[in-house]
Amino acid sequence: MRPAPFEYYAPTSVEDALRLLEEKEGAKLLAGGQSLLALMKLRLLAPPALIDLNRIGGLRYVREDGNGWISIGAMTLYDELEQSPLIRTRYPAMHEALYRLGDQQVRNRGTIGGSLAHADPSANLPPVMVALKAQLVAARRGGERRTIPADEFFLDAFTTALEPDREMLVEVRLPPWPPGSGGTYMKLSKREIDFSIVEVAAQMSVDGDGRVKESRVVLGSVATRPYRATAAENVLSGSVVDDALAAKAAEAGTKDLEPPSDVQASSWYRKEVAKVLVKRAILRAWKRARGVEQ
Amino acid sequence: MSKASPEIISTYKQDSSALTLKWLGKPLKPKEDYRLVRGRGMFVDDVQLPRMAYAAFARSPYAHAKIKGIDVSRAASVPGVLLIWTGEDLKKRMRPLPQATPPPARNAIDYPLAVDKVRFQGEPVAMVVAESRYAAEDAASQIDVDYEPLPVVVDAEKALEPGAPLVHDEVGTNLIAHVHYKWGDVDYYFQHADMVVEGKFHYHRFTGAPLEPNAVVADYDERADIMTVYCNNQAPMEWLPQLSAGLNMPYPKVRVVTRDIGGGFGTKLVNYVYMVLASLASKELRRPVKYVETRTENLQAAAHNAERTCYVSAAVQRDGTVLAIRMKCLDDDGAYARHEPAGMTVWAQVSTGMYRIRALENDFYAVFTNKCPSTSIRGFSRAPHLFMIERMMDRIARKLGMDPAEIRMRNLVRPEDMPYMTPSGGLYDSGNWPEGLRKALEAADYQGWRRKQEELRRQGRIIGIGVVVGSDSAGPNMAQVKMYNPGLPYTSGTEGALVQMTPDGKVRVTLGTSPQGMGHETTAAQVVADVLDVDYDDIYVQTGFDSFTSVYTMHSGTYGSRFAPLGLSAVYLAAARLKEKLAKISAYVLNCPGGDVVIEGGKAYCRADPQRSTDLKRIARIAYGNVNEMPPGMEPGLYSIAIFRPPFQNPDENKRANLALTYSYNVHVVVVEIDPETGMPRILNYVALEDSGRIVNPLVVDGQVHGAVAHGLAEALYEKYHYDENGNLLNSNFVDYLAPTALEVPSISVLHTETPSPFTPTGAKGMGEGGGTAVQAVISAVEDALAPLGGELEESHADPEVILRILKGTSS
Amino acid sequence: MSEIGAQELMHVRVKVNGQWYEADVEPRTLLIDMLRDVLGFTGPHIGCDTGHCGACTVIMNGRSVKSCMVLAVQADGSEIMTVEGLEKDGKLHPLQEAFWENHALQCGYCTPGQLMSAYFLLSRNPNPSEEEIRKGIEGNLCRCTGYVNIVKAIKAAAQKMADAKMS
Repeated sequence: MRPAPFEYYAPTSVEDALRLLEEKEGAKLLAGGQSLLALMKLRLLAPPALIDLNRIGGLRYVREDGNGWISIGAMTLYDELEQSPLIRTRYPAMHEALYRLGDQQVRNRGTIGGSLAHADPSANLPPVMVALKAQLVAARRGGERRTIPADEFFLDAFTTALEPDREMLVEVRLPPWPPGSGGTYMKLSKREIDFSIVEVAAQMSVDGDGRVKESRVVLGSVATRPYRATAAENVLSGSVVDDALAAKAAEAGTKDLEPPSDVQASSWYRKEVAKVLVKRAILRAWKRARGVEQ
Repeated sequence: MSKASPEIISTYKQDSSALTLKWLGKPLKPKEDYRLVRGRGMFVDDVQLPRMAYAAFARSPYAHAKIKGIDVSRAASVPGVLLIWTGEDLKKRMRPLPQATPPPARNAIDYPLAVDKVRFQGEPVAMVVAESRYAAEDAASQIDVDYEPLPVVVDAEKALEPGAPLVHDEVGTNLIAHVHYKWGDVDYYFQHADMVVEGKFHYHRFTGAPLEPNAVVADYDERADIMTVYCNNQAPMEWLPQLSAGLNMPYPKVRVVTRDIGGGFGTKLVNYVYMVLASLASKELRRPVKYVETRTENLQAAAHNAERTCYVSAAVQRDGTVLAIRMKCLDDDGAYARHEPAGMTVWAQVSTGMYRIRALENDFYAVFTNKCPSTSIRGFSRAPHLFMIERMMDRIARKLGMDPAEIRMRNLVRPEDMPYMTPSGGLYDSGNWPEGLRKALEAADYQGWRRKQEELRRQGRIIGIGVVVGSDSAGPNMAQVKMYNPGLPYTSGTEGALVQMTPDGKVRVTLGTSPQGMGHETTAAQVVADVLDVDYDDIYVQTGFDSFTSVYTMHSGTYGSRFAPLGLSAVYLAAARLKEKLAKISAYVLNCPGGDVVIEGGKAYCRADPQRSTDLKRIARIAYGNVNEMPPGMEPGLYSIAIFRPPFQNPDENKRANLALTYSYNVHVVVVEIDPETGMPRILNYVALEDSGRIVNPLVVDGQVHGAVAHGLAEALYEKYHYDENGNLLNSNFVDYLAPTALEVPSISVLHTETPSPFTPTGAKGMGEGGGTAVQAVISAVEDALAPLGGELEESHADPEVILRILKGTSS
Repeated sequence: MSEIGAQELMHVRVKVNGQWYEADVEPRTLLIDMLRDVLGFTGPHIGCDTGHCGACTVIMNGRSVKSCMVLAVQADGSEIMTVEGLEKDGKLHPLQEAFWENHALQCGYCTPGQLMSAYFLLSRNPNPSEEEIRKGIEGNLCRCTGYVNIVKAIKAAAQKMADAKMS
């Protein structure tokens, strides 16, 4: 199928892109296009105008800042991130989520900013961003920047805290986690390339005895936005993780879930396997934090 | 039931004396692949013609609704629109599509565009033709239809209940056809058997989803008054009558052409509706018209398999001998009988599987529902038949505490009984099936896996092993349609070929078939090379079918695994006749004593004096040009046409008949592991043994086995259509219709036994559909894993959720 | 900055298989449609609507992309390689040879996409494991081969290319 007609703009600066976004009613920003163009081809979306961000320079980078933060330009490709040794060593959860995101051609074209701004409740990266305590940087006209914690960024299915027609995502900032930290991303899907039936990102830091200092357990595909299993985090807090504790945390963390049903899985199945994935993710994240597993 | 009589065997026996066995069986590099690896295939969408226009469709969002009105005014104002037709417009231009069903289903009125009401979601309601694909889609999306939704029926059993919504009001019932077979003394065996085992099974809805969707370019040449239809239909000759009638043009004026076809798997048998529409539009506009289906249209509305529900009982002895089978089946054929209800009789003879089962009774109903019309998807009909019997075998084995491999071994047709006649009159041609089973079990380390299964179970891991046997019954006898509609004038199963030595000594071959990747150019060339003993590289096989140049019959096409048994047999016959003529001319030219000449290695020489020789190129020049050197009175030219006719007969008064020419045999042994906490299955080991008679090209044969396995396991684990109660199809693109990738399909080890068929001149049997053996093997393995928990699977699709519910002991 | 209205045509320049081409296309024209219908590169095919099948895969500026998920206007100024660009001086690329020798195709419809994905994979990882090969072609559906011979062929091509380098 082919998209309906639209006007096309290819600005070369963030400022121009924001001006167009403000001026052109109903315009959509086009990043990697791997979700947007599919929706337009199916004619589920027919925006009157597209603002293509691919000609804007300076939005494709991964760099370590002096203070241990990692900054990622919004137009950085999934593949560039997946190949980045910095991401792989510092944030294995993010590396795993990228490795299991779409397929090679999607990773060669799709961007982190596009995915996060699209806010698909089944996408791989949003739960990871919440688990890692990422900060998302929004730009407004006149060089104005606003930083939004990932916790507050995803509001609903396909809805973010970005102000419509006025803001665009330009950077993702990942905070340093202390030594003795580890994380993982797990997804359950029938085909590897599919969006998840359930996915979990877990990140934690432990003390010298293996007691959990801080943890984040975040699920995707179970609600309209990333679901932080705070009850699981509370169970873990201050404890050494073993199978029984992980199971207890998983039970607590998924108790209140009311996941959606769709053609791939019922609500019941999602809830059952959410428990399993949370348990497994907690165990692996803890082992990684302890340095006993890769 | 027993070994066939010598009279029958002699009727079927074929002469294969022209084979040299120099070129058969070699893994020659496939001829087709050279152009395809270079991206130089010629698929329908690659056809570009001057002034070509493009078609697109508006389709029904409802499964069942009255069309109260259609407003095309918005669409008509889209720039570039050339033509808009609704069902009413079509009604003025053609008669309804003919129905092969018996009355009263025959009263169903079927137009390529819905008239008065829509009967399934995705049914075309209007066609737009425009200057570009983009404009055509723009206009199609702006056709405004006023629908009045009607009650929907999506369940075959409910469709037969009184008061069910009628899919076709003019039929007065949702029953398409009913047949009852009783072969052998079923009642006696059920009365006297040690026990009766019962089961209910459902064969689910899926499709073949070839990567190339349906496509057509119709090009009406006003000056020549010829309609050329470039299509990707698998059997265009079957539909030429429809085209000819729809266009009101005789056959010699309608040229149907196929070239490279991007997969078919049965789905492309029924795309003639697009061929008719594009042709009519081309004639109207006096311009070429192209239509290429989108993937969503293809999955939603092109062709699904018929769902089948069967209630099966088996009369069984305590030692595991299965005496008789009785079943009641319902086929859900969807909204139109465009190909079905053929499935309820086609391959009925394999309902007893590969076993010496003495008697069979089947009460069979085919039903309309508000779903996509069905057709013969890879493994057609024998796959569900064999599914039922193989599932029963597993259940009987469990009931008797026998190993599933053992019960099969006990019941398999024995080599000494070959050729074997089934209760329904089917004639199994050859093979040592117990030996094949033993070989497959050994290759898969069956006993080792059984031990490992026990060990791993103690560690909490869940392993299942499936062992099934099956058949790719191949080369159909179309007279089987008489079993549900005795009046149909369509019988036997034939195929044609032309083998011509051209004046330069090369060989040109045309086929009646329309292959979709089965390597017909390769295997036909190998048979010709083998018979004529000329070089493979000197043989040029025309790609695809062309009704202006190919030799055809009304059966011609590529379906029912028919090329090896029927198509290659025609090639063999044509080549053998050509060889005879070459020999006669050569003997005359060389003046060989007694006319005794040998044709070998592209040359001819006198047997008595090998020094007197000539290359065939010289003979070819003589035959076409230097004709006075030919034997006096002999007709010039080196054209050889053959049509292969198997000794098929019509079903007798008890509906007994042999319905296929050859019966390939396969054994699949598969090991699955199930995640005890998520129900996700994973294949650990896959072994497929195939006996498809003489192997013409092992690359081609193994490729077909791989493909059949991939399709089967995809159906068992990934691919299933989901309709909701309102007839909405919930998964109609590759986002949700889970065609597996390289990460899901495991590596597959293929092994062979090779028992030439006595019933084909090449000894090759039809193969490639796999008879659904992979579906059965995977389901068998999953059930084997769940059996200790008392879990039994009713369906041919094992969703992880279904598995998890069994593991947890909760019902849905 | 380029600004193009809905019905207006945009001038696009692309270098395909080493040669520059120009065309005027609507902004909504997909790259695959420009390649196939305007420029005549019918090697890449269309097999789906959602970017799942990969039959349209081409190399764009060194990366494999699905040309049905890129607008032609986005490719302006890009270098593109289609399956037609694999052959050099009438000689098949080792991947093409290996696909042929191993019968890594049946209908051939997905083959141009499989080849381009394999090409990208080997450009990055000249000696991939079976698992890496399968991962490398996960964006390319094949309905005929069960991937068995495709995996085998890519392995064989990697070997051929390594041998050629050593000799």
